[in-house]
Amino acid sequence: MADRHLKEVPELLEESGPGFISLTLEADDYFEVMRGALRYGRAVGMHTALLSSSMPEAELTATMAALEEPVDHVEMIDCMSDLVMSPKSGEARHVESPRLLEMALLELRRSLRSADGPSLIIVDSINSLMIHNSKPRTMAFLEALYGRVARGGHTLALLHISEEGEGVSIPNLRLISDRVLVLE
Amino acid sequence: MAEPARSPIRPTGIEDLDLILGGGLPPGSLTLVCGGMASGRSSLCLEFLMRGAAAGEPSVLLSSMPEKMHAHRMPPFGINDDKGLEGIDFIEFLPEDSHGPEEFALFIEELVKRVENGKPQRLAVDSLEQALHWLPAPTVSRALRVLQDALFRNGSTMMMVCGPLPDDKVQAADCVLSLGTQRQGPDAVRTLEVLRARGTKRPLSRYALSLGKEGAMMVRMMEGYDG
Repeated sequence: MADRHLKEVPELLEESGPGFISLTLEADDYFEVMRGALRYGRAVGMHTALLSSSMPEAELTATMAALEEPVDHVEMIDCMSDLVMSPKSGEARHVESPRLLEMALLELRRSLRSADGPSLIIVDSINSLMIHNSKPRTMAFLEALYGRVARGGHTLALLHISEEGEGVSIPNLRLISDRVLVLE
Repeated sequence: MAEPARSPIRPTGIEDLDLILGGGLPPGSLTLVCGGMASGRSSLCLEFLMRGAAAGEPSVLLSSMPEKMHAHRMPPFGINDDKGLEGIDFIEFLPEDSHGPEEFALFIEELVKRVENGKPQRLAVDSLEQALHWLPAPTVSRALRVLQDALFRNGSTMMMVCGPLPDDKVQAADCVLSLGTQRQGPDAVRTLEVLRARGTKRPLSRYALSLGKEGAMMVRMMEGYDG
């Protein structure tokens, strides 16, 4: 079942084109959806920025290595390592806390600036952002991201875990997204 | 003699700052960059000069810190091809040369001469923190006005590093940028606020400030950070 997402997610992102895309998924499918999004970035040769407020870079890198998913094309903006005092590789960009959304936005801008053209931005996830921030603040952040995505012709995939979606509804996601894709 | 025609605003080259200021700073203006230690004041001023030097504008740094220390303490900016202070005229001064009222007046007089004789397009002074803090407001205000007149006559744009200052000491400045830190619980973010910006209609909002190899970047503070 989950393997389907490895093929489906790149296809959906390709079909959607540039814009702000919300991907609603079940927690069990998390890694497959993430891998699918990463594969899309690699397949189209896009600079890929992964903004993570879910897990530290070391954990994500180790998991992807175990799943034999290459991540050498990915620049990570890691909002968790400092918070949980996880080791840092020195390759990722770090934000001290997922509450520092302004700094996350600035690090993302630095990452996008280093790329030649449009980028793929993966935000993992709206649920984890909302654990650390109020809903209005999270929405303000996503709206700021929306503006950045629209101006730069980027593709943004926002992950939304449906079971943990307290406070986040599909209509909420529709307000900030060009497209909401519910993965079943 | 007629004043040379000038565009009302000249970009600093610091993209986000220019955006915040509605295009940049007026030529012939004095900007005070206020804030506490390690708030990013020197980095911002240095980037202002480096952007100018990279664009071929004669730029001068007057510093109370030796050149070697600047090179050691400053972040490795990529904006000037990592050339450090290359292209910037460096002039060192002793902090005590500007402390007392008479020394301060002489220092400003010397500064005015440098502006009039050298006609640099960009200058930064880092810093007059002690003098501006301790000297009485009328002394500071009068001296800055003399300096501001010289800058205006010559079309030179200056940034000056200082600590937090009361309103009556900044009357002569065209622009006042306040750098600081906003804290909430264990989190902290560097901030930049435009307290005064003559010739701009931009709202004076507060911004998060990030300093890095690519230079200073700013983004508007979002609602809710301070609870």
